[in-house]
Amino acid sequence: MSPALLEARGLSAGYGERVVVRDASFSVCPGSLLVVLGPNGCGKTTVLKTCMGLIPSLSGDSTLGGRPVAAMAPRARARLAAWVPQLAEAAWSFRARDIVAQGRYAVRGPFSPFGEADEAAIDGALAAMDATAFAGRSFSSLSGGEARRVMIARALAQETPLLVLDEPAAHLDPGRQVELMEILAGLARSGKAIAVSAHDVNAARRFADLALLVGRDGSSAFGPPSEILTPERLEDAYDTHFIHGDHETYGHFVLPISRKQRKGD
Amino acid sequence: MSVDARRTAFAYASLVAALLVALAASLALGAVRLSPADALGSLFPGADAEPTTTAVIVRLRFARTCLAAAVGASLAAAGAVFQGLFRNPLADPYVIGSSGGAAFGAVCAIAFGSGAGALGFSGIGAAAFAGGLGATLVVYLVAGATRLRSDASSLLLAGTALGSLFSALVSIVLALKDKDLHQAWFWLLGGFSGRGLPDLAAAAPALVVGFAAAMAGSRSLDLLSVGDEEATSLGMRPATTRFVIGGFAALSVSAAVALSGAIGFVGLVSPHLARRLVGPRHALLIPASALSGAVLLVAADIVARTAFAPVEMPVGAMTALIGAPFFIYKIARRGLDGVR
Repeated sequence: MSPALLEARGLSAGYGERVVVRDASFSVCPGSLLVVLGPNGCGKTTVLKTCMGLIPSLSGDSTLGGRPVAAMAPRARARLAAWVPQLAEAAWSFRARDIVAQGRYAVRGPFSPFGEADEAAIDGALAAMDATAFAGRSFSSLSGGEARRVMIARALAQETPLLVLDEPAAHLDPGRQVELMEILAGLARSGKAIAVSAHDVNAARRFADLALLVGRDGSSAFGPPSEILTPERLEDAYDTHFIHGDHETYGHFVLPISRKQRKGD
Repeated sequence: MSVDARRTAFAYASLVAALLVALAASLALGAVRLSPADALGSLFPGADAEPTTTAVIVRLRFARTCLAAAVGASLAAAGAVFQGLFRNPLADPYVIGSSGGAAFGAVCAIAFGSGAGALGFSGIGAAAFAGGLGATLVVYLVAGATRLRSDASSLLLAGTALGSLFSALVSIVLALKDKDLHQAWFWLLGGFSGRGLPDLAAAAPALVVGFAAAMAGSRSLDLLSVGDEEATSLGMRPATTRFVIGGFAALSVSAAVALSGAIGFVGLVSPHLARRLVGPRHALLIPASALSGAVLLVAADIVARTAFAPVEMPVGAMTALIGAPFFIYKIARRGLDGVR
């Protein structure tokens, strides 16, 4: 098995005194897709940002490509891992294509002019996210779904072996959500390592190789989706009753039925 | 893409044409009115020609026009840089304290001055240059000490606070030395009278270095538009970048202020006008800003010299007088942001 591109061992993440996720251990290797699940506010974004070196870890180890992320220069990190944030807004009215071109900063640096390889990477990324049609429009004028696709295209233009995406399915319609998961699974099959946070338990079961389920109390469970996304664990994590079923073509699925009375409420 | 390229080329051609018209008008207009042809002709006399009164007038106007164009271009380019650094459309070249410090330096030189120049500057100019750079340094130290990785807002806050501190000091010095009030007041408002090509030559290295650094920083400025965290994820150190690019911009701003006083408004509006013409990418925006700033300041200087001739108005007042209505008209028509 190839070495992990992203690995956390006993990682605690949070802000100053406030520990959000404690003692989490997980890893993603080239060729596999990790989905991070958990209720709102459980710390999915926090733990992913910590792995990317965007906020300092509270304790434990976090590595990118085998090197401690805290010790890496931003540009070295950006050549290894591309980050797609949940909220995106750019000052001024840059065109969508200018935003995607920012992905080439890590490759080209602040000064050297762009060459054919850069233009090709930008065009390819726009095409892969089906965003070529609005590449010339102002980024701030795009719909939420279009903007999201441009952000993912920027990460693709970075041409990194690892992609980390924070709830990229938000603002996407059901068709675009399925398409996104297919694209991410396809990228994983082509050899990239993907870590993505999401709320769609069914998509996680269907497309992911690995799942990290973060609980409200900061605990987490990591492993193959079939072992992690079990009825008891899901019920516990989301405080919600689910129906579990099987469909002849879809396979296993879960549906939320009703909110559980939380202890102490 | 080609539509974009044509549009950009057209925008630049218009700006260059506007600058040429402004330069010619600046040579021709004044207390003594000349035709543009006469003015240009006497600027390039034959080898054996006698120096005429016209030639002398045009020489003086030529020096002044060059000063106005250089200062306008530098302030406008720095304005574009600071708006990009702080992601803030209200930022101007003076946000990190350069003008306050320069004013304090100049007023001290006027009130207590020895009159001795340095580096080719006049005594007042040298003191203003040192004051501007010194203030920026203090702002950096304050912002750095409070956060150590100075984000945009701590730099802005430190700059604003220091600016107020320096204007308080300026008022105190002027209250103590009220006989110098008129000279200091005129200096503070900004203007070009009494400055010539030797002063411009002294400031030129700082202006050129500042502009070159702004151009070199243009891709980094583009990246800062998405915010510090995202810029970090894309491979940049935002705080360091802001320090370096801001430092070079402060260098050229201090030199410009040393030349002509703290002329306001041109550095704030020119980037907005340029952004409407060529879009927000800094590699295109900074030169277009510089051209707009040169046009605006040359035009303002013409008005300052001619509107109430022979009394000369302060250029700093004229930039706002011409610029503000034009700016408001443009904004009222299509909002603050660019055309694309």
